[in-house]
Amino acid sequence: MRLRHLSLRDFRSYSEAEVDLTEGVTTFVGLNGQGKTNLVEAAGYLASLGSHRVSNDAPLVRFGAERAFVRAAVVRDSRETVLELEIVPGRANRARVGRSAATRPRDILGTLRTVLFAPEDLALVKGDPGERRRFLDELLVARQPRWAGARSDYDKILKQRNALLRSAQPVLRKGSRGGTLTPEEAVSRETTLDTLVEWNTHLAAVGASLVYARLRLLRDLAPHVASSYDEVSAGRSEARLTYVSSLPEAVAHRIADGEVPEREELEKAFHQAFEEMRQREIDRGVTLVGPHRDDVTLTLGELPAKGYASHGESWSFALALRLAAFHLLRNDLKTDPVLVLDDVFAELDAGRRERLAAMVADAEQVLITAAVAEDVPDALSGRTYYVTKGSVSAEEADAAPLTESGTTSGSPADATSDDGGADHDCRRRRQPRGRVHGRPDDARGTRREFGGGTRDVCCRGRPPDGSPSGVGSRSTGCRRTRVPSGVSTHASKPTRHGHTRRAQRTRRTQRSRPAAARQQHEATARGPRMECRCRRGHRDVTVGRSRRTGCRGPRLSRQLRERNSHGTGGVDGVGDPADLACVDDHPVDRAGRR
Amino acid sequence: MYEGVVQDLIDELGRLPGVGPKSAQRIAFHLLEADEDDVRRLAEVLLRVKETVHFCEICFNVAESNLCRVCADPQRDTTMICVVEESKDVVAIERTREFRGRYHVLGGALNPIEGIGPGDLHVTELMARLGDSTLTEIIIATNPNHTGEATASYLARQIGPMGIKVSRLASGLPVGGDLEYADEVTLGRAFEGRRVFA
Repeated sequence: MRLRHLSLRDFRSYSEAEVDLTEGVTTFVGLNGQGKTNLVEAAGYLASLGSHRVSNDAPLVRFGAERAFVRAAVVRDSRETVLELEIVPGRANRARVGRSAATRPRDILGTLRTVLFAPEDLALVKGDPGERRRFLDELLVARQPRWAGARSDYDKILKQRNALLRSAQPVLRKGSRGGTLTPEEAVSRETTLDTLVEWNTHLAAVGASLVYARLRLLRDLAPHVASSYDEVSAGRSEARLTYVSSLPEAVAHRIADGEVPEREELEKAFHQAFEEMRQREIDRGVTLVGPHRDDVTLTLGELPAKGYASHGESWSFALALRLAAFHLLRNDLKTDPVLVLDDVFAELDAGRRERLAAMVADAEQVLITAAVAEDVPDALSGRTYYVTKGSVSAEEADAAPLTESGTTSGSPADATSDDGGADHDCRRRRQPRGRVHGRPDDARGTRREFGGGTRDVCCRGRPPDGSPSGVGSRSTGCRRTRVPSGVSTHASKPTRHGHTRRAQRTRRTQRSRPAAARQQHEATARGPRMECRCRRGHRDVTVGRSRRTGCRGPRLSRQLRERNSHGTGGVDGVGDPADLACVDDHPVDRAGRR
Repeated sequence: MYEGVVQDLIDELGRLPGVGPKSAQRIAFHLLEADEDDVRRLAEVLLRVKETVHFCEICFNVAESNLCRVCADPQRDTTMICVVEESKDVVAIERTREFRGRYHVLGGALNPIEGIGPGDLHVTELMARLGDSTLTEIIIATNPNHTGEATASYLARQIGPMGIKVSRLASGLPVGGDLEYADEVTLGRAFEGRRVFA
């Protein structure tokens, strides 16, 4: 299948854009922040009803506009279908397929299929397990839409079970630690355990089928990943995927060895796990086993990719995952999905560029964005569009150089349209250390505000007055804005030593924590997942005690926090900062659950 | 913002379920333009409903006296009890005229997020009713969503050991519908619950 025409209105930086597309390769070239990625993002949105860059729709609508329109003509087997989507933030979107009356947006799913590789995908290799789970689940849904239902079922049941564990915590704890219960409490404990069994049953049933589906997907996907990586890197090392299950060891081992147990067996394993983990689950008030705690380990040769692979290798691995998804969907659908390569070439060496070009040359339609036209190998000669300040044209704009300031003064949508970095790459990050965004004299003011408990706003969603706030980390130089752990749900007042109230609570918890638990906690805190959330490889951020709060646990990533507070979490989000929570009942953990 | 009592009316109406600010405004202006008699009738009904309507002592359905119409009817079949979440579900099932037994209204479903456990539902009262020796079957008709399903299996496990037959309403394809319009979950359920035909 391919896109014949894409038209945008009030989408991101575009007030209006009409782009004709042909078979084969189309390249969009333009400076940073001109809107190349916005174009392919629109195509991706039509295919998945979600953006690969943001979790809510507000940034998709041009600043000042109320709604955005995306329309596309999709050609499959020489039959053309027109898709129309109206994006209204905070309200239900409206969609239309062909000339029919407006339908539910989910009805347009499946008409257009895309496989999109974007710089954000580096997180598949370097990021949290949640990223990999989402990759698997999205691919699962793309292959068989019914899994979307199973996923949201799982989400809901999980939320209910967590709520039950949490609300019943006092009485369950007291009962299991041998405390004396009043008759009333004993009854309440009994009924709670009774209802817990029900939620266990439902969670096990849906969870088992979800794990089963993921395992089968992984089995189908793995050979494609290996061959794609092999081709991109010219056989440097072997790329493998291993599913890391949170189920009891006996089953988890078999799964890790590549076996796919039957669904019934998985369901039994779930029940066994609930039995074994009961005490820990009650103590922490969250569900500790299930697909929302699983991970996929990516290995290159003998070493895990995360933490060991170089930047280029990680990039290639992420690329191989997407290409594998492309091949898998191609086999399933009997037609090619539209392949989108957003800013992929800049990070690859010449050899890998050429080999990638050779690999994708036979795809029906490939959309490529690049800041520098020379980065795109000649083998991918196709139509080139030049993107300048939110307009797309077939000719190169006159040489008048655009200054950086000229591009950033636009709407917030403009500002986020930068595709220069592997990650959310705020240009202001390059300012000298010790300074805050904006005028240097603002620095102190901003910092003081933090201590007082103001809400942090990242440069991605600047506060309305346009003054960005954020302080670089002294230890790592990471300039990604973080919320100091004192500042989360409650605006806490500084106390005697300038610590926040939350901080004091932390220390109390730590004192009372049994030595065994503390050891375990520290052991978890040392693992490779403790990277700084800026994904630039600052390792030491979360290890050791925070100077500010005394917290020893890993901090909650901003992404996870965002997902929780918007309530849009996928299987992974669900009010359960599982990957980052401390082993103990800990403020960081609590902040994530709000 | 409107003046005084008009705004009060809009605010009050806006607190009703399913009524947003715009609908509230529309209803308010409809009432302003309506005949005084009509409005008076509505106001009286509102008051009367609060004064006279109670919940049935046996099944917790809405009733005008101590017992609801179904429980007070001696001709109803006493061998079956249909367990539903809300009174409105009773009305829905009554419309079918298929079921001649009695009901039991739980008053909701298990929902830990909203803090609803078995103690908040009329479960103990249901258990008390099971002592009736004529009773042979409990039909669980909670909603086919995850809270309803959890409630259903909870009840089934509580009632099962007492040797009374427990059944659950089937879920699947709507009558008169087209297969192609059924969503995947419904169709999947229908496959699961298929019956031997010949």
